[in-house]
Amino acid sequence: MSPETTVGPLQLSLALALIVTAAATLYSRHRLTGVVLFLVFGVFLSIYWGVIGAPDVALAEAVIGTGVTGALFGYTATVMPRPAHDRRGSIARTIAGLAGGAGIGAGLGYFLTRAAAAPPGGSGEPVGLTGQATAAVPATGVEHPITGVLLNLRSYDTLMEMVVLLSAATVAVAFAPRSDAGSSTRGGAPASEQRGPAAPPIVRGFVSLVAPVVLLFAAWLLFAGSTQPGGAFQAGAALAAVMILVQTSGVGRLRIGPAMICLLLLGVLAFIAVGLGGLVLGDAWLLLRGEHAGTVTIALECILAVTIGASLAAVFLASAGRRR
Amino acid sequence: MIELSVASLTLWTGALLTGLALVRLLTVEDLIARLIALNLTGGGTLLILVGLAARTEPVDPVPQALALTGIVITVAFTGVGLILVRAVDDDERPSRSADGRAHGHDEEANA
Amino acid sequence: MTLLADIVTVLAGLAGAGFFTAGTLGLLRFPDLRSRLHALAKADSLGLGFVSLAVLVQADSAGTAAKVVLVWLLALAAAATSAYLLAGEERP
Repeated sequence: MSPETTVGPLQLSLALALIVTAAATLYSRHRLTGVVLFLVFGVFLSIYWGVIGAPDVALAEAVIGTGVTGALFGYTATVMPRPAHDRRGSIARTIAGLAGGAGIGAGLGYFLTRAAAAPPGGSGEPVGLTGQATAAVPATGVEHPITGVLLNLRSYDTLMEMVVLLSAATVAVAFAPRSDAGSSTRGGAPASEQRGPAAPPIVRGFVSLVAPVVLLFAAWLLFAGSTQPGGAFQAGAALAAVMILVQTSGVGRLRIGPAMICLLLLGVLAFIAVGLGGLVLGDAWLLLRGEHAGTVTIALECILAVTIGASLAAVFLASAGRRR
Repeated sequence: MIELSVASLTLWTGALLTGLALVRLLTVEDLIARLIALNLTGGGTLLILVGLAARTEPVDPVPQALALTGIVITVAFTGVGLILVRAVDDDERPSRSADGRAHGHDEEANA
Repeated sequence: MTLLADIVTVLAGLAGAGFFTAGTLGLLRFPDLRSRLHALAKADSLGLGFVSLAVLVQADSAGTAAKVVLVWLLALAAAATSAYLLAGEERP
């Protein structure tokens, strides 16, 4: 998908839609309205990424930003509607907020475009790391530059990102609903109520139709990331989406137990193992070179996808599982 | 049409979005709205990042990879925020235990 | 052949846009939840079908065409299921 360098009506209208939807989301009256508008914003943002020429980010925004975050917010906003005693926002507050935000945004935009238009090197030098990245990508064993950058050239960033996910998953495990304590805190609801209502047949049919398709899509995204837009993050988020779908529809029941905790730890441990492997085999820490680089990258991506899926699903289970 | 490059449009959109969402983040009281504003601030920042990447012709892969990382981190902290918001709400809500008293008054006054 | 494909694309695209507009108009103007769901689930799905047809005749391989049809079918299933679930929520 090649971007055009000058802006046409498509990009302009998308950008306008982004700003308008964001303003509507931020200043909405009800929680659920804000959440649904946030989903719409995510769709617009994902299309915008695609039109700009960043298809990996578009895929990630669609699956992670709209799918998983939408499920998280949607579930919470549905079970926690805004309580009646909150102060209603006044028109003056809304206008002041919009004006102040637009002012800050305009100032920031002005400085950014001034700074971005003046490249630091000589006038003939291309700005950015595209040249160096494109030259180094063939040595990484994968063809797609984003995957090469993520898992090889900037693999330290990805390792730290997995640590951030692990921290989020740790919070999820700490707040995980205990199947035995749930009945004692809120007035004696029997433990069998934890199962939730049985799924209506249309939902069961829908899940049995869609879940295998999304699983296949996740596996395809994982392996397509070597040559096309895709990769471990989008695949992991699709996995998490399947788990969330199965959990919320009532078709299955997932728990944060020892099996899931193993999956959560696997990502960071595998990454550290790859790093140490580089050290042991004579290179530097986390340096991945040579004829096995592609295979190791894909194997690492598989493990990362499973961990990302488990982490996001664990976060959802922890936020959705508390008794009312 | 206006002579505007894609990179500049993305930078302006990202800046406006960040400004709007940041102001809302700092002023709103409702916790869920605050989380949504935080998420939108993150989205605006990523737009700025990719806007800087769009300055070169095959869009620069390094800031794109960082934006991808940013999206995953955004969902991670949004999830943690939601877990905490649920826990805070559970504690604030008066418990319907046998003695019938509302336990949530102190927390509600501080919200 | 390509002229015919372009004509079909333009007509189907216009029809799809018309159905989407009708669906949105119904969403804004109908009085209660269930009639709005009618507008969304039916008109928007048909609009998506027309837009998919417009894209389908421009597809360059059978694989791409099959993917477009699959996207439309999945969107149909999702729209129908969510309409059902939303309609079930309304207290009569």
